[in-house]
Amino acid sequence: MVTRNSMVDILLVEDNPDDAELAMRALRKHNLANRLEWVKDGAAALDFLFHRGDYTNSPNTLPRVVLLDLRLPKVDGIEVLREIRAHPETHELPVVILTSSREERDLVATYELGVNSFVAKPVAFDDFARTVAELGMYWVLVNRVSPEIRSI
Amino acid sequence: MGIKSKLKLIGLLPLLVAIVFGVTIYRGQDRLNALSHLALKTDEMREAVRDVRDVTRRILATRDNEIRYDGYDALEIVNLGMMDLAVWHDEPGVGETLRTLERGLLMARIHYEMLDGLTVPALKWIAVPQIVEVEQALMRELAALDTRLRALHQTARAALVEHSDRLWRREFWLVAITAVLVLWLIHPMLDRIGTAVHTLSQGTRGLSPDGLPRELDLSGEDEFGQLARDFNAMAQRLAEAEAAREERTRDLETAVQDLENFSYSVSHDLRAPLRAIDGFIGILREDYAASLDAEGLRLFGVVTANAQKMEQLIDDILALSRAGRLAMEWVTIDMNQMVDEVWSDLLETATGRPIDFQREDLPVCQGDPRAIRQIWQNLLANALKFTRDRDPALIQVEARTDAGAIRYSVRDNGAGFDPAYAAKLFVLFQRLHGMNEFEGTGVGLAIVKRFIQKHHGQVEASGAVDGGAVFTFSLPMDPNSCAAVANAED
Repeated sequence: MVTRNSMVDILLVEDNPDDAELAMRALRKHNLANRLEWVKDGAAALDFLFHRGDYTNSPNTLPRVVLLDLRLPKVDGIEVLREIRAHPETHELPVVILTSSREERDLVATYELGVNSFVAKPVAFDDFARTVAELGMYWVLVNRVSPEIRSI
Repeated sequence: MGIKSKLKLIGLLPLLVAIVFGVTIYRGQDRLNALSHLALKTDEMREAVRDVRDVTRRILATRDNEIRYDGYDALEIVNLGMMDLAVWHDEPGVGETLRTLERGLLMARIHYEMLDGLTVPALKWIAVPQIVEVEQALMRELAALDTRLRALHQTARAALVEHSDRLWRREFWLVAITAVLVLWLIHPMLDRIGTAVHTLSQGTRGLSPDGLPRELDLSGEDEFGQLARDFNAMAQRLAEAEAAREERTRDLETAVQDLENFSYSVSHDLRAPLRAIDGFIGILREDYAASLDAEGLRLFGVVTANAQKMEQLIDDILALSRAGRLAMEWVTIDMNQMVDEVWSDLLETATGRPIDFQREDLPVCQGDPRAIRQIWQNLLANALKFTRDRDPALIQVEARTDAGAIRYSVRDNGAGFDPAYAAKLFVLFQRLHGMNEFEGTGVGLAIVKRFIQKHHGQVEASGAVDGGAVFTFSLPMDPNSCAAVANAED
């Protein structure tokens, strides 16, 4: 259970437990899964970011990156992205779309909402594992964000 | 009653009036002539009466025997005039005068004969009192005749003038009343025509917000009313056709929406289980490789290969679906450049086997660059794939222009195909080679055909088993007339 004082580097928003397991395994192999929070729908993701519902005790600091699926129960990924970009405190939070969709309209819609990256999940295991690991390494270890957006 | 019939009737009115005009003029002219004749005659008769008087005086003065007959002649002229004027006997005012004149004439004749009898030519110096008496009586009679004739002459002249006046006045009123009547009758029709033409022109030009003609508000039983009813019936039919069309469009949109949702679902939901299959097999192979023998590892490899093949299938189906939905953008395409780019991209994936690639100078074409690039991509990739066993592989790209279209071809010396099954080449999922010979999903050529159809072109293939293949597609030179070209080629 995360607390207000613990840090979360990656917020994984993924409704498919198999995909989530594969992703977390790939991240774990590179020691990136220690500070990872997995939520299963868009509503939970928003609750986590805005300390609502089950996540009133979520950390004060924002994650380094949100890995966001598009097709989600309750609130879909596009809506989550719109909410994140609409609020000043999460406006600059790095969001990476990680989805099965290869539809151009999704690509266009998310970039219009200001997504930081759009990655199609590869089907092949090796490719998938490599892609997720590279994402984690880049956004958690390489990328720098301005200090004020890490804390609300 | 229709406008046409009304106009005909109104047109008849001036015709009738013209006839009446002619008849009255004709008859009035008759009377004018008669009156003029009367005046002339009375003048003539007065002349004759004066002659009688002169003759009488000369007889008394000269007792000349020869001139007595002149008197009789003159009296006869008056008499003839009287007979000529007999037609006026029934005319009020004139008839009475005529009868008096006849009596006067009779008396004058009697007196003249008496005088003639009393005066003997030889005895010119005798002036018998009886002669004087007769002469005086004759002169009185002649004077009375002259007076009456003069009066009659004046009456005739006055009547002539008055009748002429009356005649022309009547004709004037006839024409004036006719003109007013025609105007009065035609005015409501002109009004009607004006209103109807205005309403019709407004109705034909003005469209309601849904793009259909408005209903015309024009009642009546005439031609315009009929026209308006026909127009409204036509507008009604148009509206029904439009409604039917809209319904079909909605159905079509629903179908397209369903297809898009299906594609999206395929794109997203079918991949997830595949990824799980491949992913967990991958974990097994990584974490449990030690406890698997060679056969076990091979079997896992088969599962992985099939998962990847299925992903390729999904990708191809989606590509085909996108090909059908592609919104065309017509631009001029440099085919030489495009073929060279596609070819160099393909060569990156080909191994270093000997390939003889020849490209003729290709004419530019009008088309959608994404679609045309995909066509070249699929045809050249096919040529590359099926020449895998050739040494050297020979791939030629050519173009011919004929009948308003450009025919581009890709020729290879590869595995070819049995021409008996040529028709199946472009059908979705149809393959003429076994999976173990050449990999593929049977979608590439179906996409080529879809794109060519969207360009209103044609695609065909010829070949022989182990004899190479030629794929030819034609694109219309003028996309504006592409429908016509497509028809001509059929």
